[in-house]
Amino acid sequence: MIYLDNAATTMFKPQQVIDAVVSAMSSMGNASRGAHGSALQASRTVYDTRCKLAKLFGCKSPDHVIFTCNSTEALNIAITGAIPHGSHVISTDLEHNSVLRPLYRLEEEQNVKLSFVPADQQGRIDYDDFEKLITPETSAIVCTHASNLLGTMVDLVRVGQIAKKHGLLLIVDASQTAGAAPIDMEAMNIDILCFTGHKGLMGPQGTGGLCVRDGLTIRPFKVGGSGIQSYNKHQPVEFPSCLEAGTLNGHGIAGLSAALDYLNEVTVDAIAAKEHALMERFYKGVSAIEGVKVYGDFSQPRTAIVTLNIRDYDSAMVSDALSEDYGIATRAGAHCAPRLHQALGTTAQGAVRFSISWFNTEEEIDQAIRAIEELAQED
Amino acid sequence: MKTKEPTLIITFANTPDAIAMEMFCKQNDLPGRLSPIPGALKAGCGLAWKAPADMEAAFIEKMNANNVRFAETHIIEL
Ligand SMILES: Cc1ncc(COP(=O)(O)O)c(C=O)c1O
Repeated sequence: MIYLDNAATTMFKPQQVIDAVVSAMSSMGNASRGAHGSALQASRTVYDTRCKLAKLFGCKSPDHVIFTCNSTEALNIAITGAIPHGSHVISTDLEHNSVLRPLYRLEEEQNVKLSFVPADQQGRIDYDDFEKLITPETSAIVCTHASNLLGTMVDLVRVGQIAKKHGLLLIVDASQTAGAAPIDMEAMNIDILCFTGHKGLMGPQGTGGLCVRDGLTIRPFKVGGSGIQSYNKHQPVEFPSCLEAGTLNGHGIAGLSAALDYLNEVTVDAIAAKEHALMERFYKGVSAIEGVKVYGDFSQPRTAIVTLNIRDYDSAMVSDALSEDYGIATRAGAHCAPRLHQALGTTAQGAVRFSISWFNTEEEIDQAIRAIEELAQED
Repeated sequence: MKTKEPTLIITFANTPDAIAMEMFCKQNDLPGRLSPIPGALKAGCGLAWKAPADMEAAFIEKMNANNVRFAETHIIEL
């Protein structure tokens, strides 16, 4: 199988990730619950992973790295816990439903007003729009680092400067970029960075989290066992316990830790360079095929995604043919990105997304180009 | 793309229903496979059951008799 659905999840993981999970499953106690050897070992593994993530993302304090089961949970914690009721929030048309739905819920239930920086038909945004949309009530900007539909990257240094200038909270959805592009919370002025472990970080599903700037308080989304202050009726206020009620996914975090070691060995820059070269190769190949329409602006910074349609063919049927007849895994349909599909005018047809990983090869890319060529020829 | 032919498409409200359908068909030797739902159709779940067009009545009868949840059946050119 040629796996080109890495924006959904990276299916191939480094062997050391698999080994780490397997090993943890026969040796790991419960982190922060008890003082015997295996519990302590779990606490060490979890803390060590916090340190690695803090370093990767430029988060000052490892104890402000919070583990969740994915970025959706992290985004829910950040959006519902840090945005004041009745305030105004600016987001973008590039967002995934994991940003949009928590925001829409705040709009309905907590009188939060929303504005969206529009995307044009190429999926580009105009950074001046952020400032134009600011009102006296604006409390936060919530935005993605890269679109999961087109791969378009948002210039977070620029957005961070705007947020800082106007005293706004900046919450970032780094689901598509963590591990695939450099991120520096300090340089980008990010207050809360939400990430998922199973995509570019190449860790197990069920891992993810948020990194929180020092000094910020977030109302917990859930409360419960923390392993500390058991006689306190309330969730402890200290980080990370304030946002981590319940046993963590220790086995998954052990795998994530190994994935971070792997990333450090090969480096995010090398991963980005290889993925980018493969993306360019695919883009050049498919954009030359008659009847193929590729979406997005390839002159701008982007992640390794190429999204296209063939003539007026139903994207679901193209994706199905790629899977059944060529063994190529892609994703069709709406990709949980309704506003961007509306901006592109692809709500009816959907689009076929090819998303590339570190483990893909030039031969696979060439086979995928040939498959698109054949599908575009058949009538 | 290949020449089109009438195909039975059975839609579902959610993914567990679609997967339950696959198990049901496997256990009962019913033909077909899971595929993405064609863009012309709307349902809660992005997966649909794709099967020979002439078996629509048989599928409906078997699904109803066994309380297999589905949303709609359609015959479309695919
Ligand atoms: C941009 C973006 N945000 C959020 C998510 C949600 O990620 P997860 O399902 O790991 O919570 C995804 C994954 O599909 C994504 O691409």
